[in-house]
Amino acid sequence: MERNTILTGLILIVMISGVLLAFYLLYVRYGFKNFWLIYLLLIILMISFALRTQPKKEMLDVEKYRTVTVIKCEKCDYREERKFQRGDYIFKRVGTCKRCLGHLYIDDIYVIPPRKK
Amino acid sequence: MQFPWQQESWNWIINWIWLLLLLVYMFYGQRLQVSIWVRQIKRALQKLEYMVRKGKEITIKAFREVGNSDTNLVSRINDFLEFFVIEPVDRDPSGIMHKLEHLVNVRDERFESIVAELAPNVNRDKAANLENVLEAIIALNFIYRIVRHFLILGEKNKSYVLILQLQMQLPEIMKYANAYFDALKAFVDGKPIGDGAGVLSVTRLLREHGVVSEEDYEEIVKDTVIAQTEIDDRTVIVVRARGPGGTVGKPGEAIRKLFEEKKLRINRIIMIDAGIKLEGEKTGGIMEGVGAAIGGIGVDKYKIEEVATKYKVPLDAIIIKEAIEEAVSPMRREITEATRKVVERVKRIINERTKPGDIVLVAGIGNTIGIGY
Repeated sequence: MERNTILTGLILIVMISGVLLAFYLLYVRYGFKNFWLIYLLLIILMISFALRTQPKKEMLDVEKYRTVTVIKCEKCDYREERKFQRGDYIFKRVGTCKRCLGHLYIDDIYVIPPRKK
Repeated sequence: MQFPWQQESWNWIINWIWLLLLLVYMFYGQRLQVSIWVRQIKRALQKLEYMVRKGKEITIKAFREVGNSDTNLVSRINDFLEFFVIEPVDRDPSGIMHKLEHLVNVRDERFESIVAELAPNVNRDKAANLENVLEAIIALNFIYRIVRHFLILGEKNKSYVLILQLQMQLPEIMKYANAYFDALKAFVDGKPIGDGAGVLSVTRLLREHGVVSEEDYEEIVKDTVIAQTEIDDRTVIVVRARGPGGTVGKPGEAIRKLFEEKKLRINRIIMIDAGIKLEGEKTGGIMEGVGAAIGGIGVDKYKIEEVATKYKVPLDAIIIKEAIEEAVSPMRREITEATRKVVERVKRIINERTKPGDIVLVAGIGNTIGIGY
């Protein structure tokens, strides 16, 4: 694999040097009159091709989620949201309602995925 | 006649350079492309390696937290990482379901025994979660091994095709790996996952009709419970896996038992499960159709289809759409919201397609991790 990487690097260097040399010669000979745009375009194409084949960063990232626990009262419309705590599960009873003394239970646990940039 | 170097113009140099570049690209272009792909795969492999390493740390920590101070814990988990199941021979398909069921039972017993050995003092729910943790790390490790295998094979044989195939599938592979990594963390914490949508729906249905505690349920087969309620003068029997530990139960066996052993004259079966959405569709969408809505290796599906056909009972299927990676990662808001809509849909089906006095079986399929009663 090492050899392969070195070879790839060499090929790239040769190609880029060739393009730059051609660019320079054209500059000396024609003074940017006719072909410089074509060569510039070629260089831009090569760079963009190299960038395009880079792995996408998001593919390699580990996403961070935020988990929410929703608590409701069995009798009244009391509702509370808090961060998930280990030991939480849906329909677990988690105490009594301050408003009506009814049972509080976990109605929902869900994740909110990170916002895509 | 003039030689090129005698020409006044520098054109010949430029022509030679372009010819050289063309030749280089002709002979080494493909190799250049392959090396770029190899670099991509290696970066993904690095991430997979990190996930496996981190996953192992999480797994070990989870066992340590429940009191395992054994110095051999790391090696015991490492030994178990490459656990496999060999599927039965399918050239003679007659009786293959029984063989599959036997293998699945043996596999489940192995997982139970390893968890009992490594975490002897935990309750049933926590043990089920730890089994899920082991399953997730095994899946993650398997993905890592497969990617590494094909990368090395492709490099060794200088196979353009192998590397190309691997590179093209990389985004999908990484999606699965990310999902299993998320699932691993969810299993340790006991968070509900997307696959539990069916179970959550039927539990909401029961709670709406007064079945709100664990005592109202009966364990009919291992890890599978049933509960009964009345909806619009119909008797509704709900089947689901026991929770809040992570189990999928044996809904097929439970339904078979209700028909064959309890001799219930069930008039309709409604099955609810999480199903794979197509690209472009929204997570949490609901589809309705007919058939046994249950995934897995096929044993439960086979049993349900057998009894439904034998007793000529119509089978309704409700699917909550989600991507495959959403099914194994912590439950998203869209999915929990969909479960409320499913409850309404089930009530409508019961009302429209059954008569008062009928017995309706509603089966919530999926992993019950983080879902109580």
